[in-house]
This record gives sequence, structure tokens and C-alpha cells, in this order.
Amino acid sequence: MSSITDVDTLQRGVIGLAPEPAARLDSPYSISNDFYAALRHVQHDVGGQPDAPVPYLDKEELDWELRTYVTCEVLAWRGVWNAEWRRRAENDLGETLYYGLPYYGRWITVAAKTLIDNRLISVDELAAKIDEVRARKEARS
Amino acid sequence: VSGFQMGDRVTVREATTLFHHRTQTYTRGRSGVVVEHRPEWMIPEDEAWGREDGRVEPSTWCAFASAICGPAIPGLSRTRWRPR
Repeated sequence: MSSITDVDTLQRGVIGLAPEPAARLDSPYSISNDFYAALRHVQHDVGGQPDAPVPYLDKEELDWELRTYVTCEVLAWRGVWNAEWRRRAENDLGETLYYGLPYYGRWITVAAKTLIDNRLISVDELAAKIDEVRARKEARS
Repeated sequence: VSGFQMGDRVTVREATTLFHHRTQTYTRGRSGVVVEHRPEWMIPEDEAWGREDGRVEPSTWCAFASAICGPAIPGLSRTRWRPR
């Protein structure tokens, strides 16, 4: 159960995510076609954008990452979605979640959203399962 | 089968895309040369919604001179993307 303090902490965290705005967007009454084209830009289309060099890390997949990969592949095998659908769903998360989540964090988030969107599970069922798994982990530790 | 032949000079269309696509912005309107044919598959604009009646089109690989696409970073002579 969230306390008032938890809500305050969450609020401060969300405010901290907001980038320094170049121009404040506040549902304008009208926009130009060029601006609309810029708004429609898809997150994965980053080729050619200015960027700084990043270090190459030889990172091993963690267990939860491998399980996420297999879960998403099995969902495809059972006809829930395909890889392109998953990529589109990742873009549809919006820029903050897309860039804020780890790579496989994006995958598992959109897997859950897609199952709910397709009415294969309900939000309540997902929340109940998360609580069940959390309780099981806490009982072990 | 693609209507394009190897070596044909082609230009990437700047087609309107409302939602999902995989046509990189930096290739739009640019001209290149057909270097390889690939099998037909459903285009991302339809596959991304799991359509069973999605448009299936032959895939063609094109080589672009990196100078045409322009440097990604001012001061660098090449983009990070290179023609296959």
C-alpha cells in the first residue's frame, strides 16, 4: 500500500525525468505539417543523429533477460505477436519509457501490454500474479 | 520478383508514414544502386499489427554512397552506417 511519503517520492522522481524543454508542448490548438512530421518520428530511427562515442561492454545476459527473450519468442510461436509487432509496441511506449527502460525491460513491458491489449489476460490478473511472485520471493529471502 | 535489376539506380520514396516503419530518415529521397535481391516478406507497416492480409513485397538491398547520406556527425567524413 502506498503511503503519502511514497507518492511524494514518486512525484519527485517523475519530475526528475522531465528533460529541459526546448519548447513547451501543451496540446497546441494548431501545428504545422513539418512539426507534425517531427512528432511522428519513430524512436528506433536514430541513424545519422549526432551522438557521442559509447564504450563497448561485453555484457552477458542475466537470467531474467534470457527468460524474457524466451517468453517473447514463445508468445510469437503461439501466435500472440511477431517481432515487428514487438518493435512497434516498444516505440508506442513513448520516448521516456523507451529510453528509460533496460533493453529487455522494454520487451517484458510490451509483452504484458500486448497480452492485455489483446484481452488474453486482464490487468487484475497480471497485478495478482505480480503480487504472488513478489510474495514468493520475499518468503524465500 | 522485384522489378529492379542489379545495378539499377533507385531513389527511396518519401512516402507518408503515420505510424510504424523501418525506412530510415537519412535514406529518404536519396539515390542508390541495387546490389542484392532478397525474398518477399510482409512490409513492417503491416506486419507490426499482425495483419494476415498485409502487403508482401520483394526486398531489395541498395548501396548508397555514404557521402550522399552525409556525415552523421559534423567533422566526420562518414556516417556510422555503411553500404553492404
